[in-house]
Amino acid sequence: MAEKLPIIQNVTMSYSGLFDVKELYSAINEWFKDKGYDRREIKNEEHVSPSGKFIDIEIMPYKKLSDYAKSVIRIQITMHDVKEVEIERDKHKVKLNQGSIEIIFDSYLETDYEGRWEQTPFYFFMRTVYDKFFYKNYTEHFEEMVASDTREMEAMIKSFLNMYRFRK
Amino acid sequence: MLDKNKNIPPTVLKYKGIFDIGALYKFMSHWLINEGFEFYETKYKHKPPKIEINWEANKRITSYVKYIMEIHFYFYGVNDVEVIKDGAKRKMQDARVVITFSGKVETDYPDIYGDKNWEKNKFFVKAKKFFENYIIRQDLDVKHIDSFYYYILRFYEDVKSFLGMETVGGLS
Repeated sequence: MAEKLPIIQNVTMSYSGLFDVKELYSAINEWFKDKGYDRREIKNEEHVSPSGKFIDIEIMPYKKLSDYAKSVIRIQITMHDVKEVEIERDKHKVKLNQGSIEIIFDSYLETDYEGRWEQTPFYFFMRTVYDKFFYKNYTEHFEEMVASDTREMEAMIKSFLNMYRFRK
Repeated sequence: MLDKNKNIPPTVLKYKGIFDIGALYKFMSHWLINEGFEFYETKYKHKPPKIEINWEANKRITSYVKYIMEIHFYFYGVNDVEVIKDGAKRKMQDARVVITFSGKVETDYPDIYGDKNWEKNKFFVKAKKFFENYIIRQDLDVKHIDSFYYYILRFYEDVKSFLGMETVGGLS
């Protein structure tokens, strides 16, 4: 089993107001694609009710940093009371969504994701020694990369949602 | 590589609303057939208001590699309703559905006699393990496992689009 080192845990972002669900979803997926992450969607749930839609998405894209380490960012997006509204912008009618969003970010560094170094106790011991004494600099560098990617993703979503807050 | 056992991790789609179960069934089965899959329904359980269906779809890619897609449907809280859509009355269902998409890439699949060519004796079994772990590993990972996963995701996106879900368009 791979070793998972948590880098960022339970960072939450909330927003309430106007946004576009499709655009937000596409923006997140495009960002990950541009950064070289492979897409992985765990769950996508949508409930239609009279008060609006409830949408729950969980994605966990990953990126292989080397043949030993992998960056994994987990994002859980929950949207409540999502309704379709029409607003006038620049004399044009635009269809948007209104509701509240909560986004939770987690990220971790997964090492030995192929399980090559846990086949025997000796291999496991060698891996631990190697991680602690020889590979430490690389692991720290990878941790910084994962943290930086997560913060960048968070900033991108914040600026995307703020765009709707100010452009009414 | 997603899994050293060549399994594609499951992706779950949950929806609650008004939709046509029959039309969804037809859409998904036609999608698989049009993409060249041999499609089998391995389970159909109808106990109103629940319906449970299991599908298995196979596609031979090469003489050594086969894609197997497994889809599990669970419809519950199914109520027949009549809605007016596009000016016409239509019978649909107000239901909840959970669809699980998963799959695996099978290597050295059985031939028409049910025999696996690389499992005739112990030497061939070890040779196959060496072949898959060191010779064609990258081919399996990139050309088959990863691309099959994105193939399943494309199907998943088409089903989301059919149901009219908001979060469509993740694959560009």
